Amino acid sequence: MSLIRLENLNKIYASQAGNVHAINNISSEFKAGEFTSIVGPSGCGKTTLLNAIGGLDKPNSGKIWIDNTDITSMGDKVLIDFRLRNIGFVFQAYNLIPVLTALENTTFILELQGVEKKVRNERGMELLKAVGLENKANSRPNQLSGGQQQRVAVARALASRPRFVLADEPTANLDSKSTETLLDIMAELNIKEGTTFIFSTHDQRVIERARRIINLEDGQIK
Amino acid sequence: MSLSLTMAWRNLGRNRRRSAITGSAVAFALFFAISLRSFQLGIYEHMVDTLVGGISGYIQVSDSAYWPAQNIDLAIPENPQWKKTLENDNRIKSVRPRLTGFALLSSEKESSVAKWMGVDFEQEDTAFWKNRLRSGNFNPNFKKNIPVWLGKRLAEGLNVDVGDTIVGLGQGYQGGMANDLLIVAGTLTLGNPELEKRAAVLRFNDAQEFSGAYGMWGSVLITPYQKEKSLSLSSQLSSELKLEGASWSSWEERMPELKQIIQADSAGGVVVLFILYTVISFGLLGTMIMLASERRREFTMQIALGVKRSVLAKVVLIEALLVGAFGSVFGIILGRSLAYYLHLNPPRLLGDAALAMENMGWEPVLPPSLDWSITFTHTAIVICIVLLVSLWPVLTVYKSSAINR
Repeated sequence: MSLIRLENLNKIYASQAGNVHAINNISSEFKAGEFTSIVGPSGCGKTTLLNAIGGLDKPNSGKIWIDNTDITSMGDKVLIDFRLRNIGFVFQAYNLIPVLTALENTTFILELQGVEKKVRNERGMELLKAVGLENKANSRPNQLSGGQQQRVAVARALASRPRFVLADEPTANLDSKSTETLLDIMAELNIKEGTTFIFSTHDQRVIERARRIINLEDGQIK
Repeated sequence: MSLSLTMAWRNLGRNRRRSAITGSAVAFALFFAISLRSFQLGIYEHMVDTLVGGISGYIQVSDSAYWPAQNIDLAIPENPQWKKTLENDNRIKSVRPRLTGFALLSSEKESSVAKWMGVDFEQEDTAFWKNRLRSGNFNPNFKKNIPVWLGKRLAEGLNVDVGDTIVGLGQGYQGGMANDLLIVAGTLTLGNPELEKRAAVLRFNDAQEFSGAYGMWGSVLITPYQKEKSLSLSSQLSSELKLEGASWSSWEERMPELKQIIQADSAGGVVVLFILYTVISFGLLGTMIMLASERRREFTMQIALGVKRSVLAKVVLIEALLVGAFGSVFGIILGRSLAYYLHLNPPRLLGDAALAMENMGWEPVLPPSLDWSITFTHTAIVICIVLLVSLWPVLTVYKSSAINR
């Protein structure tokens, strides 16, 4: 049984040059525990597809089923809560909250979910240890390198044990050593915690690690 | 500490200069508003106190035709039981029966028209009179003649001092003559130059004897604890504590022109404050627009992560409130300190301005008010402005989507 099912998904943007078909009638499925890369050249619709799966952007037509729940029919408030409880996000620009420490950033989602402090701190430290940053728990983002920030972002995405993690070009701003470290961590967590990862990337190192690759071109799966 | 409070508190340190500018704007607005309003309302209080407080009363009970002629023939019979009931009322600070009339006072070569007032020193606010005693004392040892305390300028006009004898001649009660030899027991500084030229204060019993109005009150002056509520209290008390043949009036009813002067002048101050608040509001709005603009991306990211917009709005509001609170504390400390210092050391007007004030009947000093309601009112206004301008980032939060376009 599939975790995510896309049915005839379409997303059209209006631009000065005319309508852009960012996603063109895509249908696909993702199973639990997958480690998938969506690859393709810039502007092929990778980020748009990821945003649609994550409920950040509404498609013009088609349906997205997550665990048999159609998220395209959800209202904004319901969707926010759905994301909070089911989806982890890793962004290209890390997007940590600058006023919170690494541990607080990691446990941020858990706190919003109402998890008690002791439990969330244990989980936060467990994940910071997993990403090799247990000694940076009290550091603010501006005291961390780009690679370290992205590792905290991964820890944050996994803290609430989401159904899946969407990572939009997570290695785009990282050097090769940091990229390798991050990929090792994500691959290990994928196996250890069974977390489903879906990446959008054009980084060859990420593509090589993926167990499934979806090629996107002009908004269509090739 | 909750997540919202933690984030709001730490956000203050992200752009310290902006937080400091915002807080300073709030502090300055509050300092200026408290200082200006304390001065303005303090001057009115001083004016009302000198013109009304000790002489005609915040609330006066008398025959309905008594004011403003203060004809002794319109005196009302004493009623000690009614007075006691009033004194026991927790809304009332003091109850002072008075007997007033007019007489010609003469010394050796000088004569002057005087307004004599019978005052029960034992029953009255002794501090009020002690503070006004310029020379002499309130316990003279004159056995033969009636002691009198003259307004400073009246004593100067009659060219008399403590211990001198003067003659009083005027209208007594119901066709009688008020005449006697009076001995100057002291001189008074009454804060009202016109009154100082005319006032001759007698002990209450002496005044009854002098005028022949035995067992009579000319009027009863009532000072409430909440002086600003004299008007409403007067009408309330008049139905609760009726006195046969007497009517109640507040100073606003007896002196409508004084109230109008205060209202007109006060409106000018309100306009100045309105302009100040408008300027400050736009300054604060500018910092809030900057804040919203800097955080737009962060709002988007947090919404994407699943943070409710209401939580983000709460963080922004708490942040604005914290800046407002810090600024307010500084503004209050500065404004109140200045008001307190100048209340103890009131500036005194000099030259023509002083003369103009004296001609209008009050002492040319400018003591600021220490009324806490000024502080509370303007703090509330400033906090409301802060909350109002912080609606901009709140709206930005609610307009933010989950992705950057």
